Amino acid sequence: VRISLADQCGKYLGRSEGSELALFLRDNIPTDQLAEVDFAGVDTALPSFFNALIGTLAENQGLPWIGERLKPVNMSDLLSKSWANALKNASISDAEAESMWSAAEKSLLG
Amino acid sequence: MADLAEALDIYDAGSSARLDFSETLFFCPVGVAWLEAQVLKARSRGVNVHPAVGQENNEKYRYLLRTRTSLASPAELSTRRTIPLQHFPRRDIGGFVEYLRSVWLRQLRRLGEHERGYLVTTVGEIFENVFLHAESPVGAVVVGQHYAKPFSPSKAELHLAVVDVGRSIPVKISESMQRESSRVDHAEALRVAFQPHLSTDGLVFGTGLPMFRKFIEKNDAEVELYSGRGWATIGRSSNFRNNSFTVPGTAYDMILRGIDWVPGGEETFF
Repeated sequence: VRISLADQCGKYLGRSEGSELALFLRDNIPTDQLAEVDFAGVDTALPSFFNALIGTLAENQGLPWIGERLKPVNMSDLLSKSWANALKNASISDAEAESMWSAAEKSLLG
Repeated sequence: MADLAEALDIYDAGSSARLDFSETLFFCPVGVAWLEAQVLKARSRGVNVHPAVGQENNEKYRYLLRTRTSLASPAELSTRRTIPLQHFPRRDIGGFVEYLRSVWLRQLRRLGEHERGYLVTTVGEIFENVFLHAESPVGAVVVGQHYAKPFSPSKAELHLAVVDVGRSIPVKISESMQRESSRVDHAEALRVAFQPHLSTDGLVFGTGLPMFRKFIEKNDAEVELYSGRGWATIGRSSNFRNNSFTVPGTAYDMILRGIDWVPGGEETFF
């Protein structure tokens, strides 16, 4: 299956487009198929697009699902870096996240 | 900045406020954007805001015309160094990207496509925050300025101010912690917002502002921001502190300097 981002979400992509696409992919990719996410025609994709897309998918389907089922194609260097960064962020465990928030909360409340 | 917001808040719908610039000494880009955002906010409440009579020859008022604020029309043509103000009432990423490329960065002809894309993408994240986190009632106001340094081009500066009047970053963080904003240290909230993996809505995926910070630090740029009671500068050195006053929303003033971040060239901004 090939999904054209420019057709599906438009030329300029931010956080809401990432969340919407994640739900679309979750519901529309058959379990035995690979989806090519095609970036051709995309002008700008903000980091929050990738974070929302990969973060939402990781939460719903798990990181291995992203690796096995999704293949980004026609990406520039910049987009590839954003994709890799988002994967790295999503790999943070719940325990690590909780510990970071707990430390932040202490400093925020003095 | 906070004084003007408070002063205009006093006016009721249907009343008129007249702004007098005769005592104004200087407008920085973020001051212009802030003024315009407050005018738009007051007008959205039904307050009529106009310049006071007899401002025509006032140099500072004429600068507001050149930046194309809504205080008068028709606006004068902007100069090469004045980057016209743009109001984005709605989330329009494409419009913002095009503004950055064709208006803000127009002088940087030798800036590579990759660097241009990196810059636009990183700054675009701030714009996205205005609508997703701040939910600013009048959207975003953006304006820029070139500061020439003819005898020292490497010190030339390119400013971009982005202002909203929605929820400030500390207020948003307080909400995600389910705490009263008055109990949260606003300077610390700004520090947290710029840390990787901690976002203003309490998710671990927050990377927009940390990426922006990385960009600023890597390119010898600087950003100053006011948000709630918090104030911060990020760049050569980072400082966070609490102000004695509160600003509604967030005001960013981003400064790019000289040629350091322009690959392989002796590009100047002018």
